[in-house]
Amino acid sequence: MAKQPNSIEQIKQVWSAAWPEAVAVWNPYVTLREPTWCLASRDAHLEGLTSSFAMIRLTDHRIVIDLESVRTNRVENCALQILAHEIGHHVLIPANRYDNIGVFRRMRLALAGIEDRVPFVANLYSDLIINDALQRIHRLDMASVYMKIQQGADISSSLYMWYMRTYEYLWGLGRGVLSGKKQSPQIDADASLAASLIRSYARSWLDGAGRFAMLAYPYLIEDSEYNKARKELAKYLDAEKSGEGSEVAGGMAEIDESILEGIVDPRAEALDDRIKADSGGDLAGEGEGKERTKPSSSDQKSLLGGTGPRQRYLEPGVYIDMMRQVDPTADDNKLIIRYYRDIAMPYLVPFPVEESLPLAELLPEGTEQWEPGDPVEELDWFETTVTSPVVVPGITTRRRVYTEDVDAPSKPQSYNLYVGIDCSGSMRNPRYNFSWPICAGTIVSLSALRAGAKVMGCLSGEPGSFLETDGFVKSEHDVLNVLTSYLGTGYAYGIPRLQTPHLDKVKRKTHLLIVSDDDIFSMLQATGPDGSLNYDIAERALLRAGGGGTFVLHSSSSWHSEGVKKLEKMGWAVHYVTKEEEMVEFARAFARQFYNKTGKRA
Amino acid sequence: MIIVPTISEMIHHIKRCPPEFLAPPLLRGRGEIHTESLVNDIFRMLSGNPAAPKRIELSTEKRSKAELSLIQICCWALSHPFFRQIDSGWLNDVFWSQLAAIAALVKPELWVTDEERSEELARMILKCCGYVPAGETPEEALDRFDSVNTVKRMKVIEETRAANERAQAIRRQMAEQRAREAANVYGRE
Repeated sequence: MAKQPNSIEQIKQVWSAAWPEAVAVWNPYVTLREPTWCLASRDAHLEGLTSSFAMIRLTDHRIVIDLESVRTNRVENCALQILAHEIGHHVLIPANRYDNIGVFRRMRLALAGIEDRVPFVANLYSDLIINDALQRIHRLDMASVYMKIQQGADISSSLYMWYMRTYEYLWGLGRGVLSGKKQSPQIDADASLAASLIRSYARSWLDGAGRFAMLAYPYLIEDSEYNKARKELAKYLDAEKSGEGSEVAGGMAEIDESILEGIVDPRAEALDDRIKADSGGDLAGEGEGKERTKPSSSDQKSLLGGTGPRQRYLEPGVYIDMMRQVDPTADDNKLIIRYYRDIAMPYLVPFPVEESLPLAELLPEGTEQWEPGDPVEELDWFETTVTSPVVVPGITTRRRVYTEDVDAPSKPQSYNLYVGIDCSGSMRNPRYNFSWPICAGTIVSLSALRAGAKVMGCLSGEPGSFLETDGFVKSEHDVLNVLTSYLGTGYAYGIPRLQTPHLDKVKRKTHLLIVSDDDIFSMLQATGPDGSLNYDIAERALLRAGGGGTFVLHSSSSWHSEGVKKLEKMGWAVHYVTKEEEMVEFARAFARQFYNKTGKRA
Repeated sequence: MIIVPTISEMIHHIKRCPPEFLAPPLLRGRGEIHTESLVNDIFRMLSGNPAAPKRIELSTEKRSKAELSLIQICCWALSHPFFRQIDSGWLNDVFWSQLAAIAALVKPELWVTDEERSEELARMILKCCGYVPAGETPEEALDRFDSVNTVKRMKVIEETRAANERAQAIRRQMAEQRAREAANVYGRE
């Protein structure tokens, strides 16, 4: 028997020595840094480890061990098993931020109404998968670790009993060795199903997550039962906050129908399997008239309430809620930007370019600000260091500007884009409800940025307030941040905003895109602060910008036909976007509007 | 001295079942294996009398395909050397008849692929012939058999079906309520 380390320092030495062996249990080529050893629990608290004696972070691929708590829980001799378990969270489940959210997505569907319990259930599930792999495949004695921790444990919640009974099933332990002596036949049956599930989905554990949560569901409905179980199982919760502080993962706004197939109650499935086995018996009448208990995926989908293109996306509020569960510190702005970006990406269109005739001989004209995102080769280091010896990208960085020489061959140059978004009370808040116009605006803005254009965004609900980017910028975050914000003031986009001095200074042609609803016609008929009619302001802005203009309206084509004719006469294109077909048609028409004229593309 | 195998050894033996025993039973002109002949062959082997006349009548036409498949897997399980050491008197029509209930609950392939089902089958056969797996007390063996007993588990699931359906109904109501709330947000703005 291994010698018992006495002091915390000795425990640290023993555990540190066990680290390479623990890594080798999974794979000697796994490269993980040695854990953060906290000699006192208060140090562990500073690392965010509060209830258990170990935890993992997916953000920086770290493991934190509270050695004082290790001694309190009498597991100082179990370094190899516990370290291998924590490594298992990094290499097996959840392994990465993407799969971590994958587990959460599945469990949220199963735990409808009690989604706040998802991180807790996900932690229990991943522990079962890892521990069974270590015990069965890697031959580590995980059972003895649990026996030590469970020694004298007070088990009163049904969930705790069921969870520990599952381990007894998995590892062939005697009744009550881990789960106490109070099991009911129902806990026995559920634990047996859970053990089968853990074995069946050991490799494709993402697919088993929904089923596991469905099994746990009856034990979690009552708040008091859940709170009791949470308190009793606190020392095992080492991966609940593993996704905290991480970047927002993409592709999570979409509802994956294959996920819905896995939201099945294993109890109902067992009854269903019984019917299948029976009906496979070739005896007349067998299996007939028996009720199938497995819910269909369309049934599940109706509960989920998909929105957006092909109704394949989560509602923005549900998306934000889910992502905040993975990372409670996540910024709402970043989340909503990512949400609309994910939806817009498949619909990006070719953004217009103009044929310019510059650059046979490069005649230096002066300098202008170089911004992150501009080509690095355009950065003028001499002028930059003259501006300031301390280089701050986007602030002190300069680039040289050249005059054009008409003798040169032509060079395509993308238009700039001005996006004006109506943010009055009549528009939907894109943070709560999916908004087709905002989606259309996002598509055009991202298309423009991808083509190398600069974009200026202006959010306006007037009379009232407005919010705009600092001129034309190349930052996707700045543009989408304006697009997805909400003011809720006034009644329409303020047309006088088109008088912005930023539109005077631009050297490239600029396309104007106004996203609003039919209240914009009341705004167009009003007069601006200088007494001029807003229709005239819109016309002048269109001429000044030189790259055409588009109104995208959340409205009907039969309303305000006079106003539409007037706008079209000026040169504005008007599109109505209230559903998917219209949005796709708008994206097509937007691309056609420019490419047919130049004759380059059909 | 009779050497009783451990439960792990029996599970291992069952999981090594050759594909021939898993082939579809011959039933109403379809299938490959004549299950009744297989059963009588096993009986002759265990009784040590290869020339004995047919003793066990299976009446295969009255049995389901799943049951006949399980009987074939049992024949393989009984090929373990342990069963040659003991009297084969227990292996009568009663044994072959009691497989119908359990066969209706489990897909045949699971008996040899699922660890827990293999354990259940091993324990069931040992219990029928009156032996306790090596290294276990009769109480432990009984408790463990109860733990993996499909008939018992299905009975519990059936009994708690109403409660589970209630839980699922609550779950559904909560999901619907959440969907309604999401739809109403616009109205409240």
